[in-house]
Amino acid sequence: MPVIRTENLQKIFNKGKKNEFSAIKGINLSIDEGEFIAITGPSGCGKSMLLNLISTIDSPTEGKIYICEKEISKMSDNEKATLRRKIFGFVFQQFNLINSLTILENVAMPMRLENLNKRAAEERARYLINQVGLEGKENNKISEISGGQMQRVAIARALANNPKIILADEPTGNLDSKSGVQIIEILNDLNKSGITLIIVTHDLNIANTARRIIKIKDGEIVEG
Amino acid sequence: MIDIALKNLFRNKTRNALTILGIAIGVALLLSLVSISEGMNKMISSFGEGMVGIITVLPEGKSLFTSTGGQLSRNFVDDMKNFEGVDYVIPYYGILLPDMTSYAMGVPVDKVGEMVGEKIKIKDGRMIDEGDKDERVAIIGSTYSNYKNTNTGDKINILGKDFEVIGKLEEGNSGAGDIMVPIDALQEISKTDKLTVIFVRVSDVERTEEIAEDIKSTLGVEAETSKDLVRKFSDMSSQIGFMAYVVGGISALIGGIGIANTMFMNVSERRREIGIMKAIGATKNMILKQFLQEAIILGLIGGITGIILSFFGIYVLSLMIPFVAMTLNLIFIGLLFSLGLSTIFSVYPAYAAAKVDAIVALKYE
Repeated sequence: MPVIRTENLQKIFNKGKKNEFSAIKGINLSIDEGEFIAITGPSGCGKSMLLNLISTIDSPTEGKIYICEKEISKMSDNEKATLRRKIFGFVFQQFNLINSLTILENVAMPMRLENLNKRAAEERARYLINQVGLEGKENNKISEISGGQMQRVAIARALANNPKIILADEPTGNLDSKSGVQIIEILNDLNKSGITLIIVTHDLNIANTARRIIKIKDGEIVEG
Repeated sequence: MIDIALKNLFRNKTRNALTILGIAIGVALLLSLVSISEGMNKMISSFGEGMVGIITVLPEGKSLFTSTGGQLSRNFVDDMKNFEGVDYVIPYYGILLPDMTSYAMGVPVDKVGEMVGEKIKIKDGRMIDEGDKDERVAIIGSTYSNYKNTNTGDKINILGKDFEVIGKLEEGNSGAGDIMVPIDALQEISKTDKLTVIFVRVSDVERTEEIAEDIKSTLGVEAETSKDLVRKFSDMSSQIGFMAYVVGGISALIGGIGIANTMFMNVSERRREIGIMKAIGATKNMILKQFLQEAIILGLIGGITGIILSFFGIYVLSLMIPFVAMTLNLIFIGLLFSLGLSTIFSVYPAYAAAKVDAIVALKYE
Protein backbone atom coordinates (compact mmCIF):
# COMPACT_ATOMS: atom_id res chain seq x y z
CA MET A 1 0.00 0.00 0.00
CA PRO A 2 1.44 3.38 -0.95
CA VAL A 3 2.06 5.71 1.97
CA ILE A 4 2.32 8.65 -0.42
CA ARG A 5 0.52 9.05 -3.71
CA THR A 6 0.11 12.11 -5.88
CA GLU A 7 -2.19 12.66 -8.84
CA ASN A 8 -1.50 15.37 -11.40
CA LEU A 9 0.23 17.50 -8.75
CA GLN A 10 0.79 21.09 -9.83
CA LYS A 11 2.20 24.19 -8.22
CA ILE A 12 1.74 27.33 -10.21
CA PHE A 13 2.85 30.76 -9.06
CA ASN A 14 1.09 33.96 -10.24
CA LYS A 15 -1.56 31.92 -11.97
CA GLY A 16 -3.30 33.81 -14.77
CA LYS A 17 -0.78 36.62 -14.69
CA LYS A 18 1.91 37.56 -17.20
CA ASN A 19 4.61 36.14 -14.95
CA GLU A 20 2.86 32.78 -14.38
CA PHE A 21 5.33 30.08 -13.46
CA SER A 22 4.81 26.34 -13.01
CA ALA A 23 7.16 24.89 -10.40
CA ILE A 24 5.55 21.44 -10.39
CA LYS A 25 3.86 20.20 -13.54
CA GLY A 26 1.43 17.35 -13.13
CA ILE A 27 3.50 14.94 -11.04
CA ASN A 28 2.09 11.44 -10.48
CA LEU A 29 3.97 9.55 -7.83
CA SER A 30 3.46 6.52 -5.66
CA ILE A 31 5.73 5.64 -2.74
CA ASP A 32 5.26 2.42 -0.82
CA GLU A 33 5.77 1.93 2.87
CA GLY A 34 9.42 1.26 3.76
CA GLU A 35 10.85 2.60 0.51
CA PHE A 36 14.05 4.64 0.33
CA ILE A 37 13.64 7.22 -2.40
CA ALA A 38 16.04 9.86 -3.60
CA ILE A 39 14.61 12.82 -5.47
CA THR A 40 17.31 14.40 -7.56
CA GLY A 41 17.65 17.07 -10.15
CA PRO A 42 19.37 20.37 -10.82
CA SER A 43 18.99 23.32 -8.53
CA GLY A 44 15.57 25.01 -8.89
CA CYS A 45 13.96 22.03 -10.65
CA GLY A 46 11.23 21.74 -8.02
CA LYS A 47 12.47 18.84 -5.87
CA SER A 48 12.26 20.74 -2.56
CA MET A 49 8.90 22.15 -3.63
CA LEU A 50 7.65 18.60 -4.20
CA LEU A 51 8.80 17.65 -0.69
CA ASN A 52 7.04 20.69 0.80
CA LEU A 53 3.81 19.76 -0.99
CA ILE A 54 3.98 16.13 0.14
CA SER A 55 4.70 17.19 3.71
CA THR A 56 1.68 19.57 3.71
CA ILE A 57 3.89 22.54 4.60
CA ASP A 58 2.85 24.02 1.25
CA SER A 59 -0.36 23.53 -0.75
CA PRO A 60 -0.61 22.51 -4.40
CA THR A 61 -2.43 24.65 -6.94
CA GLU A 62 -4.00 21.56 -8.47
CA GLY A 63 -3.91 17.81 -8.13
CA LYS A 64 -4.27 15.48 -5.20
CA ILE A 65 -1.98 14.11 -2.51
CA TYR A 66 -2.83 10.99 -0.58
CA ILE A 67 -1.01 10.26 2.67
CA CYS A 68 -1.76 6.72 3.87
CA GLU A 69 -4.61 6.83 1.32
CA LYS A 70 -6.16 9.95 2.87
CA GLU A 71 -6.59 12.88 0.51
CA ILE A 72 -5.06 15.90 2.23
CA SER A 73 -6.66 18.79 0.31
CA LYS A 74 -9.85 18.15 2.26
CA MET A 75 -8.02 18.30 5.58
CA SER A 76 -8.15 21.31 7.87
CA ASP A 77 -4.98 23.15 8.88
CA ASN A 78 -5.11 21.39 12.26
CA GLU A 79 -5.39 17.96 10.63
CA LYS A 80 -2.41 18.76 8.41
CA ALA A 81 -0.44 19.88 11.48
CA THR A 82 -1.34 16.59 13.15
CA LEU A 83 -0.02 14.73 10.09
CA ARG A 84 3.25 16.66 10.32
CA ARG A 85 3.55 15.80 14.00
CA LYS A 86 2.60 12.13 13.79
CA ILE A 87 3.32 10.79 10.32
CA PHE A 88 6.30 12.83 9.16
CA GLY A 89 9.75 13.50 10.53
CA PHE A 90 11.64 16.39 8.98
CA VAL A 91 15.35 16.84 8.33
CA PHE A 92 16.26 20.11 6.65
CA GLN A 93 19.43 21.34 4.96
CA GLN A 94 19.47 24.39 7.29
CA PHE A 95 18.82 22.07 10.29
CA ASN A 96 15.93 24.34 11.39
CA LEU A 97 16.53 23.89 15.09
CA ILE A 98 15.38 26.46 17.62
CA ASN A 99 18.55 28.20 18.73
CA SER A 100 17.20 29.48 22.03
CA LEU A 101 16.45 25.94 23.23
CA THR A 102 18.84 23.22 24.32
CA ILE A 103 19.39 20.01 22.34
CA LEU A 104 17.09 18.20 24.78
CA GLU A 105 14.34 20.80 24.43
CA ASN A 106 14.59 20.78 20.64
CA VAL A 107 14.23 17.01 20.46
CA ALA A 108 11.42 17.00 23.01
CA MET A 109 9.46 19.75 21.20
CA PRO A 110 7.39 17.57 18.79
CA MET A 111 6.38 15.41 21.77
CA ARG A 112 5.46 18.48 23.83
CA LEU A 113 3.33 19.60 20.88
CA GLU A 114 1.67 16.17 21.09
CA ASN A 115 0.79 17.04 24.70
CA LEU A 116 3.19 14.53 26.19
CA ASN A 117 4.23 15.74 29.62
CA LYS A 118 7.63 17.38 30.00
CA ARG A 119 9.21 14.53 31.97
CA ALA A 120 8.13 11.77 29.54
CA ALA A 121 9.05 13.88 26.50
CA GLU A 122 12.51 14.58 27.86
CA GLU A 123 13.03 10.96 28.81
CA ARG A 124 12.40 9.85 25.23
CA ALA A 125 14.41 12.79 23.93
CA ARG A 126 17.42 11.60 25.98
CA TYR A 127 17.05 8.13 24.46
CA LEU A 128 16.94 9.54 20.92
CA ILE A 129 19.91 11.83 21.59
CA ASN A 130 21.86 8.75 22.70
CA GLN A 131 20.75 6.94 19.55
CA VAL A 132 22.26 9.62 17.32
CA GLY A 133 25.49 9.58 19.32
CA LEU A 134 25.15 12.86 21.22
CA GLU A 135 24.95 11.53 24.77
CA GLY A 136 26.18 14.05 27.31
CA LYS A 137 25.28 17.02 25.13
CA GLU A 138 21.60 17.19 26.09
CA ASN A 139 21.89 20.54 27.81
CA ASN A 140 24.13 22.16 25.22
CA LYS A 141 22.78 25.04 23.23
CA ILE A 142 22.49 24.65 19.46
CA SER A 143 25.18 27.28 18.94
CA GLU A 144 27.63 25.11 20.91
CA ILE A 145 27.64 22.15 18.51
CA SER A 146 28.93 21.48 14.98
CA GLY A 147 26.85 21.27 11.79
CA GLY A 148 27.06 17.47 11.75
CA GLN A 149 25.87 17.35 15.35
CA MET A 150 23.05 19.78 14.54
CA GLN A 151 21.84 17.45 11.81
CA ARG A 152 21.95 14.53 14.27
CA VAL A 153 19.77 16.61 16.62
CA ALA A 154 17.40 17.25 13.72
CA ILE A 155 17.23 13.50 13.05
CA ALA A 156 16.55 12.80 16.73
CA ARG A 157 13.79 15.42 16.65
CA ALA A 158 12.37 13.87 13.45
CA LEU A 159 12.10 10.53 15.25
CA ALA A 160 10.39 11.98 18.33
CA ASN A 161 6.85 10.88 17.55
CA ASN A 162 7.74 7.58 15.82
CA PRO A 163 7.06 8.83 12.27
CA LYS A 164 6.15 6.56 9.36
CA ILE A 165 7.97 8.77 6.87
CA ILE A 166 11.14 10.82 7.10
CA LEU A 167 11.48 13.68 4.65
CA ALA A 168 15.04 14.90 4.33
CA ASP A 169 15.73 17.98 2.20
CA GLU A 170 19.44 18.11 1.28
CA PRO A 171 20.37 16.69 4.72
CA THR A 172 24.08 16.77 3.95
CA GLY A 173 24.10 20.02 1.98
CA ASN A 174 25.69 22.02 4.79
CA LEU A 175 28.01 19.31 6.10
CA ASP A 176 31.57 18.20 5.44
CA SER A 177 31.87 14.88 3.59
CA LYS A 178 32.66 12.84 6.73
CA SER A 179 29.64 14.16 8.63
CA GLY A 180 27.55 13.76 5.47
CA VAL A 181 28.40 10.07 5.25
CA GLN A 182 27.55 9.55 8.93
CA ILE A 183 24.17 11.26 8.51
CA ILE A 184 23.31 9.13 5.48
CA GLU A 185 24.30 6.02 7.45
CA ILE A 186 21.94 6.99 10.26
CA LEU A 187 19.11 7.67 7.79
CA ASN A 188 19.82 4.38 6.01
CA ASP A 189 19.59 2.51 9.31
CA LEU A 190 16.25 4.19 10.03
CA ASN A 191 14.95 3.05 6.64
CA LYS A 192 16.12 -0.50 7.39
CA SER A 193 14.05 -0.36 10.58
CA GLY A 194 10.96 0.19 8.41
CA ILE A 195 10.64 3.95 8.13
CA THR A 196 9.91 5.27 4.63
CA LEU A 197 12.73 7.61 3.67
CA ILE A 198 12.57 10.32 1.05
CA ILE A 199 15.74 12.30 0.48
CA VAL A 200 15.97 15.31 -1.76
CA THR A 201 19.54 15.69 -2.99
CA HIS A 202 21.55 16.88 -5.93
CA ASP A 203 24.46 14.68 -4.82
CA LEU A 204 24.50 11.56 -7.02
CA ASN A 205 26.61 9.59 -4.51
CA ILE A 206 23.87 10.01 -1.92
CA ALA A 207 21.12 9.37 -4.47
CA ASN A 208 22.81 6.09 -5.41
CA THR A 209 22.41 4.80 -1.85
CA ALA A 210 18.61 4.91 -2.35
CA ARG A 211 16.64 1.99 -3.71
CA ARG A 212 14.72 4.23 -6.12
CA ILE A 213 15.79 7.48 -7.72
CA ILE A 214 13.29 9.98 -9.03
CA LYS A 215 14.82 12.53 -11.36
CA ILE A 216 13.06 15.86 -11.76
CA LYS A 217 13.67 18.50 -14.37
CA ASP A 218 11.72 21.72 -14.75
CA GLY A 219 9.00 20.50 -12.40
CA GLU A 220 8.43 17.18 -14.13
CA ILE A 221 9.55 13.63 -13.38
CA VAL A 222 11.92 12.62 -16.15
CA GLU A 223 13.03 9.32 -14.69
CA GLY A 224 11.86 6.95 -11.94
CA MET B 1 4.52 25.00 27.73
CA ILE B 2 4.99 27.55 30.50
CA ASP B 3 8.67 26.56 30.89
CA ILE B 4 9.35 27.44 27.25
CA ALA B 5 7.36 30.71 27.62
CA LEU B 6 9.48 31.69 30.62
CA LYS B 7 12.66 30.81 28.78
CA ASN B 8 11.58 32.95 25.83
CA LEU B 9 11.05 35.93 28.12
CA PHE B 10 14.68 35.72 29.21
CA ARG B 11 15.83 36.04 25.60
CA ASN B 12 15.26 39.79 25.59
CA LYS B 13 15.80 40.71 29.19
CA THR B 14 16.10 44.48 28.76
CA ARG B 15 13.12 44.83 26.46
CA ASN B 16 10.90 42.67 28.62
CA ALA B 17 12.12 44.34 31.83
CA LEU B 18 11.17 47.74 30.40
CA THR B 19 7.74 46.42 29.42
CA ILE B 20 7.29 45.02 32.93
CA LEU B 21 8.31 48.41 34.35
CA GLY B 22 5.71 50.13 32.15
CA ILE B 23 2.97 47.82 33.42
CA ALA B 24 4.21 48.16 37.01
CA ILE B 25 4.14 51.97 36.93
CA GLY B 26 0.63 51.90 35.43
CA VAL B 27 -0.58 49.50 38.13
CA ALA B 28 1.10 51.48 40.94
CA LEU B 29 -0.41 54.74 39.67
CA LEU B 30 -3.85 53.25 39.33
CA LEU B 31 -3.79 51.60 42.76
CA SER B 32 -2.53 54.78 44.45
CA LEU B 33 -5.37 56.80 42.95
CA VAL B 34 -7.97 54.14 43.73
CA SER B 35 -6.66 54.00 47.31
CA ILE B 36 -7.14 57.79 47.62
CA SER B 37 -10.67 57.43 46.25
CA GLU B 38 -11.44 54.54 48.62
CA GLY B 39 -9.89 56.50 51.52
CA MET B 40 -12.10 59.48 50.70
CA ASN B 41 -15.19 57.29 50.67
CA LYS B 42 -14.28 55.84 54.07
CA MET B 43 -13.66 59.35 55.40
CA ILE B 44 -17.02 60.55 54.04
CA SER B 45 -18.79 57.61 55.57
CA SER B 46 -17.08 58.18 58.95
CA PHE B 47 -17.59 61.94 58.71
CA GLY B 48 -21.24 61.57 57.64
CA GLU B 49 -22.01 59.29 60.58
CA GLY B 50 -20.32 61.69 62.99
CA MET B 51 -22.08 64.77 61.65
CA VAL B 52 -25.64 63.45 61.97
CA GLY B 53 -27.66 66.01 63.97
CA ILE B 54 -25.06 68.77 63.47
CA ILE B 55 -25.61 71.90 61.41
CA THR B 56 -22.50 73.63 60.03
CA VAL B 57 -22.94 77.39 59.94
CA LEU B 58 -20.72 79.48 57.64
CA PRO B 59 -20.86 82.93 56.09
CA GLU B 60 -23.13 83.02 53.01
CA GLY B 61 -21.50 81.55 49.91
CA LYS B 62 -18.69 79.81 51.85
CA SER B 63 -18.00 76.09 52.06
CA LEU B 64 -16.55 74.03 54.91
CA PHE B 65 -13.77 72.83 52.60
CA THR B 66 -12.51 76.31 51.78
CA SER B 67 -13.07 77.94 55.14
CA THR B 68 -10.15 79.21 57.10
CA GLY B 69 -9.50 82.17 59.39
CA GLY B 70 -12.03 84.46 61.06
CA GLN B 71 -15.17 85.21 59.11
CA LEU B 72 -18.16 84.89 61.47
CA SER B 73 -19.02 87.18 64.37
CA ARG B 74 -19.01 85.60 67.83
CA ASN B 75 -22.50 87.11 68.33
CA PHE B 76 -23.94 84.38 66.14
CA VAL B 77 -23.09 81.86 68.86
CA ASP B 78 -25.53 83.46 71.28
CA ASP B 79 -28.12 83.99 68.52
CA MET B 80 -28.07 80.30 67.67
CA LYS B 81 -28.29 79.10 71.23
CA ASN B 82 -31.71 80.77 71.35
CA PHE B 83 -33.11 78.81 68.39
CA GLU B 84 -35.78 76.31 69.25
CA GLY B 85 -34.52 72.74 69.06
CA VAL B 86 -30.81 73.63 69.42
CA ASP B 87 -29.05 71.54 72.06
CA TYR B 88 -25.69 73.34 72.13
CA VAL B 89 -23.41 75.42 69.90
CA ILE B 90 -19.68 74.88 69.25
CA PRO B 91 -17.68 77.82 67.92
CA TYR B 92 -14.69 76.85 65.84
CA TYR B 93 -11.72 78.81 64.62
CA GLY B 94 -9.31 77.18 62.17
CA ILE B 95 -6.30 78.21 60.15
CA LEU B 96 -4.47 76.44 57.37
CA LEU B 97 -0.88 75.91 58.42
CA PRO B 98 1.96 77.13 56.17
CA ASP B 99 2.67 73.55 55.00
CA MET B 100 -0.77 73.83 53.26
CA THR B 101 -1.72 70.27 54.18
CA SER B 102 -2.84 70.52 57.83
CA TYR B 103 -5.28 72.62 59.80
CA ALA B 104 -4.89 74.03 63.30
CA MET B 105 -8.42 73.68 64.69
CA GLY B 106 -9.29 75.98 67.60
CA VAL B 107 -11.98 74.21 69.63
CA PRO B 108 -13.77 75.05 72.88
CA VAL B 109 -11.99 73.20 75.68
CA ASP B 110 -15.26 71.79 77.06
CA LYS B 111 -16.53 70.52 73.68
CA VAL B 112 -13.50 68.84 72.12
CA GLY B 113 -15.25 65.47 71.94
CA GLU B 114 -18.34 66.91 70.28
CA MET B 115 -16.39 69.12 67.90
CA VAL B 116 -16.38 66.71 65.01
CA GLY B 117 -19.39 64.83 66.26
CA GLU B 118 -17.50 61.63 66.89
CA LYS B 119 -16.08 59.92 69.89
CA ILE B 120 -12.49 61.08 69.86
CA LYS B 121 -10.11 58.53 71.26
CA ILE B 122 -6.73 59.47 72.65
CA LYS B 123 -3.91 57.02 71.98
CA ASP B 124 -1.10 58.83 73.77
CA GLY B 125 -1.16 61.52 76.50
CA ARG B 126 -4.42 63.22 77.43
CA MET B 127 -7.36 65.17 76.01
CA ILE B 128 -7.58 68.98 76.12
CA ASP B 129 -9.74 69.83 79.14
CA GLU B 130 -11.25 72.91 80.75
CA GLY B 131 -8.00 73.69 82.58
CA ASP B 132 -6.28 74.25 79.22
CA LYS B 133 -8.50 77.22 78.23
CA ASP B 134 -5.69 79.75 77.70
CA GLU B 135 -2.81 77.26 77.44
CA ARG B 136 -0.77 76.72 74.31
CA VAL B 137 -1.36 72.99 74.14
CA ALA B 138 -2.29 70.74 71.20
CA ILE B 139 -3.62 67.34 70.33
CA ILE B 140 -2.39 65.91 67.05
CA GLY B 141 -3.97 63.45 64.61
CA SER B 142 -2.27 60.14 63.86
CA THR B 143 -1.56 61.00 60.20
CA TYR B 144 -0.09 64.38 61.21
CA SER B 145 2.03 62.63 63.83
CA ASN B 146 3.41 60.12 61.30
CA TYR B 147 3.90 62.61 58.50
CA LYS B 148 5.58 65.27 60.67
CA ASN B 149 7.29 62.77 62.95
CA THR B 150 5.82 64.57 65.97
CA ASN B 151 4.78 62.95 69.23
CA THR B 152 3.39 63.73 72.65
CA GLY B 153 5.77 66.04 74.50
CA ASP B 154 7.08 67.73 71.32
CA LYS B 155 6.46 71.37 70.41
CA ILE B 156 4.55 72.57 67.35
CA ASN B 157 5.04 76.05 65.98
CA ILE B 158 1.81 77.86 65.04
CA LEU B 159 2.11 81.45 63.80
CA GLY B 160 5.48 81.76 65.51
CA LYS B 161 4.29 80.44 68.89
CA ASP B 162 5.13 77.06 70.39
CA PHE B 163 2.29 74.72 71.36
CA GLU B 164 3.05 71.65 73.45
CA VAL B 165 1.64 68.36 72.18
CA ILE B 166 -0.24 66.83 75.12
CA GLY B 167 -1.99 64.05 73.29
CA LYS B 168 -2.23 62.03 70.09
CA LEU B 169 -5.46 60.75 68.52
CA GLU B 170 -6.03 57.13 67.72
CA GLU B 171 -5.87 56.16 64.05
CA GLY B 172 -9.17 56.38 62.20
CA ASN B 173 -10.34 59.71 63.62
CA SER B 174 -11.42 62.11 60.87
CA GLY B 175 -9.11 64.80 62.22
CA ALA B 176 -6.17 62.50 61.68
CA GLY B 177 -4.26 65.00 59.55
CA ASP B 178 -4.79 68.01 61.80
CA ILE B 179 -3.96 69.69 65.12
CA MET B 180 -6.54 70.60 67.78
CA VAL B 181 -5.79 73.50 70.11
CA PRO B 182 -7.88 75.56 72.57
CA ILE B 183 -9.85 78.16 70.56
CA ASP B 184 -8.96 81.04 72.86
CA ALA B 185 -5.22 80.38 72.54
CA LEU B 186 -5.42 80.20 68.75
CA GLN B 187 -7.55 83.33 68.45
CA GLU B 188 -5.17 85.18 70.77
CA ILE B 189 -2.13 84.53 68.60
CA SER B 190 -4.20 85.21 65.45
CA LYS B 191 -5.34 88.49 67.01
CA THR B 192 -9.00 87.92 66.19
CA ASP B 193 -12.21 87.10 68.01
CA LYS B 194 -14.02 85.99 64.87
CA LEU B 195 -14.93 82.39 64.08
CA THR B 196 -14.45 80.18 61.04
CA VAL B 197 -17.45 77.90 61.48
CA ILE B 198 -20.13 77.37 64.10
CA PHE B 199 -21.36 73.83 64.69
CA VAL B 200 -24.91 73.57 66.00
CA ARG B 201 -26.05 70.33 67.67
CA VAL B 202 -29.82 69.83 67.50
CA SER B 203 -31.71 67.93 70.19
CA ASP B 204 -33.95 66.10 67.70
CA VAL B 205 -32.07 64.64 64.74
CA GLU B 206 -35.29 64.41 62.71
CA ARG B 207 -35.59 68.20 62.80
CA THR B 208 -32.03 68.94 61.54
CA GLU B 209 -33.11 70.09 58.06
CA GLU B 210 -35.91 72.23 59.42
CA ILE B 211 -33.68 74.01 61.98
CA ALA B 212 -30.96 74.52 59.34
CA GLU B 213 -33.49 76.25 57.08
CA ASP B 214 -34.65 78.36 60.01
CA ILE B 215 -31.07 79.51 60.85
CA LYS B 216 -30.38 80.20 57.18
CA SER B 217 -33.42 82.40 56.63
CA THR B 218 -33.23 84.21 59.97
CA LEU B 219 -29.50 84.98 60.16
CA GLY B 220 -28.59 85.12 56.46
CA VAL B 221 -25.81 82.52 56.72
CA GLU B 222 -25.05 79.14 55.12
CA ALA B 223 -26.37 76.29 57.24
CA GLU B 224 -25.37 72.85 55.99
CA THR B 225 -26.58 69.56 57.38
CA SER B 226 -24.60 66.31 57.34
CA LYS B 227 -26.46 65.35 54.15
CA ASP B 228 -25.28 68.53 52.38
CA LEU B 229 -21.70 67.95 53.53
CA VAL B 230 -21.68 64.28 52.58
CA ARG B 231 -23.08 65.21 49.16
CA LYS B 232 -20.33 67.80 48.64
CA PHE B 233 -17.68 65.37 49.87
CA SER B 234 -19.10 62.68 47.60
CA ASP B 235 -18.91 65.01 44.61
CA MET B 236 -15.25 65.61 45.40
CA SER B 237 -14.65 61.92 45.88
CA SER B 238 -16.40 61.12 42.60
CA GLN B 239 -14.13 63.56 40.82
CA ILE B 240 -11.07 61.86 42.32
CA GLY B 241 -12.59 58.47 41.43
CA PHE B 242 -13.14 59.69 37.87
CA MET B 243 -9.55 60.92 37.73
CA ALA B 244 -8.40 57.49 38.92
CA TYR B 245 -10.21 55.93 35.99
CA VAL B 246 -8.86 58.50 33.51
CA VAL B 247 -5.27 58.06 34.75
CA GLY B 248 -5.83 54.29 34.90
CA GLY B 249 -7.10 54.38 31.33
CA ILE B 250 -4.13 56.41 30.11
CA SER B 251 -1.63 54.20 31.93
CA ALA B 252 -3.46 51.15 30.55
CA LEU B 253 -3.09 52.53 27.05
CA ILE B 254 0.62 53.32 27.52
CA GLY B 255 1.32 49.97 29.21
CA GLY B 256 -0.76 48.18 26.58
CA ILE B 257 1.09 49.84 23.71
CA GLY B 258 4.34 48.74 25.40
CA ILE B 259 3.12 45.15 25.60
CA ALA B 260 1.87 45.15 22.00
CA ASN B 261 5.15 46.66 20.79
CA THR B 262 7.24 44.09 22.70
CA MET B 263 5.11 41.23 21.43
CA PHE B 264 5.21 42.44 17.82
CA MET B 265 9.01 42.67 18.03
CA ASN B 266 9.13 39.17 19.52
CA VAL B 267 6.96 37.83 16.70
CA SER B 268 9.05 39.59 14.09
CA GLU B 269 12.34 38.29 15.51
CA ARG B 270 11.01 34.78 15.93
CA ARG B 271 9.40 34.46 12.52
CA ARG B 272 11.73 31.65 11.47
CA GLU B 273 11.22 29.84 14.78
CA ILE B 274 7.43 30.04 14.26
CA GLY B 275 7.94 28.54 10.79
CA ILE B 276 9.98 25.68 12.28
CA MET B 277 7.34 25.05 14.94
CA LYS B 278 4.63 24.94 12.28
CA ALA B 279 6.70 22.67 10.05
CA ILE B 280 7.13 20.13 12.86
CA GLY B 281 3.42 20.17 13.59
CA ALA B 282 2.41 23.15 15.73
CA THR B 283 -1.11 24.38 14.97
CA LYS B 284 -2.15 28.04 14.80
CA ASN B 285 -3.74 27.69 18.24
CA MET B 286 -0.53 26.31 19.73
CA ILE B 287 1.45 29.31 18.42
CA LEU B 288 -1.28 31.72 19.59
CA LYS B 289 -1.30 30.12 23.03
CA GLN B 290 2.49 30.25 23.29
CA PHE B 291 2.64 34.00 22.63
CA LEU B 292 -0.38 34.72 24.84
CA GLN B 293 1.26 32.77 27.66
CA GLU B 294 4.39 34.89 27.32
CA ALA B 295 2.37 38.12 27.39
CA ILE B 296 0.33 36.99 30.37
CA ILE B 297 3.50 36.11 32.29
CA LEU B 298 4.84 39.60 31.42
CA GLY B 299 1.57 41.09 32.69
CA LEU B 300 1.63 39.01 35.85
CA ILE B 301 5.21 39.98 36.72
CA GLY B 302 4.38 43.62 35.88
CA GLY B 303 1.25 43.45 38.03
CA ILE B 304 3.05 41.97 41.02
CA THR B 305 5.87 44.54 40.68
CA GLY B 306 3.25 47.29 40.44
CA ILE B 307 1.50 46.03 43.57
CA ILE B 308 4.83 46.02 45.45
CA LEU B 309 5.53 49.59 44.20
CA SER B 310 2.05 50.69 45.23
CA PHE B 311 2.65 49.33 48.75
CA PHE B 312 5.37 51.99 49.07
CA GLY B 313 3.30 54.66 47.28
CA ILE B 314 0.21 54.04 49.39
CA TYR B 315 2.30 54.02 52.57
CA VAL B 316 3.66 57.49 51.71
CA LEU B 317 0.14 58.69 50.83
CA SER B 318 -1.24 57.28 54.10
CA LEU B 319 1.17 59.52 56.01
CA MET B 320 -0.50 62.55 54.44
CA ILE B 321 -4.07 61.48 53.80
CA PRO B 322 -6.25 59.74 56.41
CA PHE B 323 -7.97 56.42 55.61
CA VAL B 324 -5.67 55.65 52.66
CA ALA B 325 -4.50 52.06 52.99
CA MET B 326 -3.50 49.03 50.92
CA THR B 327 -6.35 46.55 50.83
CA LEU B 328 -6.94 43.07 49.43
CA ASN B 329 -9.36 44.70 47.04
CA LEU B 330 -6.55 46.83 45.58
CA ILE B 331 -4.28 43.79 45.14
CA PHE B 332 -7.10 42.09 43.26
CA ILE B 333 -7.67 45.19 41.08
CA GLY B 334 -3.92 45.38 40.33
CA LEU B 335 -3.69 41.75 39.25
CA LEU B 336 -6.89 41.90 37.21
CA PHE B 337 -5.75 45.13 35.54
CA SER B 338 -2.32 43.82 34.57
CA LEU B 339 -3.57 40.44 33.38
CA GLY B 340 -6.43 42.00 31.41
CA LEU B 341 -4.09 44.54 29.90
CA SER B 342 -1.48 42.01 28.80
CA THR B 343 -4.11 39.65 27.40
CA ILE B 344 -6.01 42.30 25.43
CA PHE B 345 -2.93 43.97 23.99
CA SER B 346 -1.19 40.72 23.04
CA VAL B 347 -4.12 39.10 21.24
CA TYR B 348 -3.33 40.78 17.94
CA PRO B 349 0.47 40.13 17.99
CA ALA B 350 -0.21 36.51 19.01
CA TYR B 351 -2.74 36.21 16.20
CA ALA B 352 -0.16 37.66 13.79
CA ALA B 353 2.30 34.99 14.99
CA ALA B 354 -0.27 32.23 14.50
CA LYS B 355 -0.91 33.41 10.94
CA VAL B 356 2.76 33.28 9.90
CA ASP B 357 3.16 31.23 6.72
CA ALA B 358 5.57 28.37 7.46
CA ILE B 359 7.06 28.33 3.95
CA VAL B 360 7.80 32.07 3.99
CA ALA B 361 9.06 31.92 7.59
CA LEU B 362 11.47 29.05 6.91
CA LYS B 363 13.16 31.17 4.26
CA TYR B 364 13.37 34.11 6.73
CA GLU B 365 16.81 34.85 8.09
